[in-house]
Amino acid sequence: MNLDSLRRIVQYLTLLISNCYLGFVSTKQVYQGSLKSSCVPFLHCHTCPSALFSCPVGIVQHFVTQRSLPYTLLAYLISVGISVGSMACGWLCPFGLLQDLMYKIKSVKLSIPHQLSHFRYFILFFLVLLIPLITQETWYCKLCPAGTLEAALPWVLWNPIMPLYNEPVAQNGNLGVLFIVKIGILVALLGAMTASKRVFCRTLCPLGAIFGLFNKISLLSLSVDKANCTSCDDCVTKCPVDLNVSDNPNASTCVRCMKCLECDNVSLDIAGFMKNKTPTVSAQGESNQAKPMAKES
Amino acid sequence: MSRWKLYAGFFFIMIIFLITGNQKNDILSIQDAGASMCLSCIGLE
Ligand code: SF4
Ligand code: SF4
Repeated sequence: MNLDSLRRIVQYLTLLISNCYLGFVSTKQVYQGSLKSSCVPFLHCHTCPSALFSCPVGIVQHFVTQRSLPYTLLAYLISVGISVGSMACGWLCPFGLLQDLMYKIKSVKLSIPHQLSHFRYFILFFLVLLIPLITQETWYCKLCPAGTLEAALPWVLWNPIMPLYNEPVAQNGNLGVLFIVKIGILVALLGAMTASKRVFCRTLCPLGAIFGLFNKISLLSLSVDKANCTSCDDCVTKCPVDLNVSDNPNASTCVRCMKCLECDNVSLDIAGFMKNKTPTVSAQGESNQAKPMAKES
Repeated sequence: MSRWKLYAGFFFIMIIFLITGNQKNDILSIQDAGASMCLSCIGLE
């Protein structure tokens, strides 16, 4: 089995494990047990009927609206980032899996300018931190397309009578402009997913923005043997985020899928212990001393 | 600065976070938020 098939299996397993709660069918409520006190290291809405764990972005906003610092969560996010960078994005995130699958649909294909990845920091700063701090409302959640897909659609379409309130979830008056905007964002994004690789991860995801910051310094990193790189750009074609691995193996948008490891000149490095003896990008900057080398495609 | 100093710095910050924070409170608060039917997530007004 190659690494990419293994990654796909891990992505499906994560989807399954993080959605193991089936009690919602009878309780008509989200899971309220002790597992909800832990966050997954990816975007997965905790209001999804079957969700077992909490969403880190939702929880960060929850603390921000209460004007307190989520110390434990920050320590957790830093540990994940420092250890594996954004590997959870490539290997675990169900919304990442959805994007991988949507891109397989035949449609017009468009590339995304790399500069757009900075927009993730704008979203992180304004929608996750500043606006929730001022308004004390979780504004990112209000617009989050993962929340729309995993929570809004199932609850509103099912619309059960919640035993606790003896009222349906959606009723006259509480479904309005916000819901329409949410659906609009999701529909637009689903369309964009068919045209561009990992469009949400690269331009909008605040969690990917946080983990991406660690890619350059994480214990797990990638390095390229520039001396043997033939600049065939095979890695660029395979990369799910259109990265030129040979120029920048630890870019903030890399989702650490490890597809580029199929090239013998790209190697995985753990805390500097597995570094090649041959010159790497980090050792040689942008220089490219191409020496032709037979490489599988 | 060597990479190891950087890691040490990060783990130091992390430990400070863990010491400073009231973990029991944090965990209860996370569970509280995660276990509620979040109206923002559903898009209700
Ligand atoms: S960047 Fe993409 S894959 Fe990573 S957490 Fe965000 S949505 Fe998931
Ligand atoms: S650079 Fe390599 S590991 Fe990163 S996303 Fe592209 S193919 Fe995957």
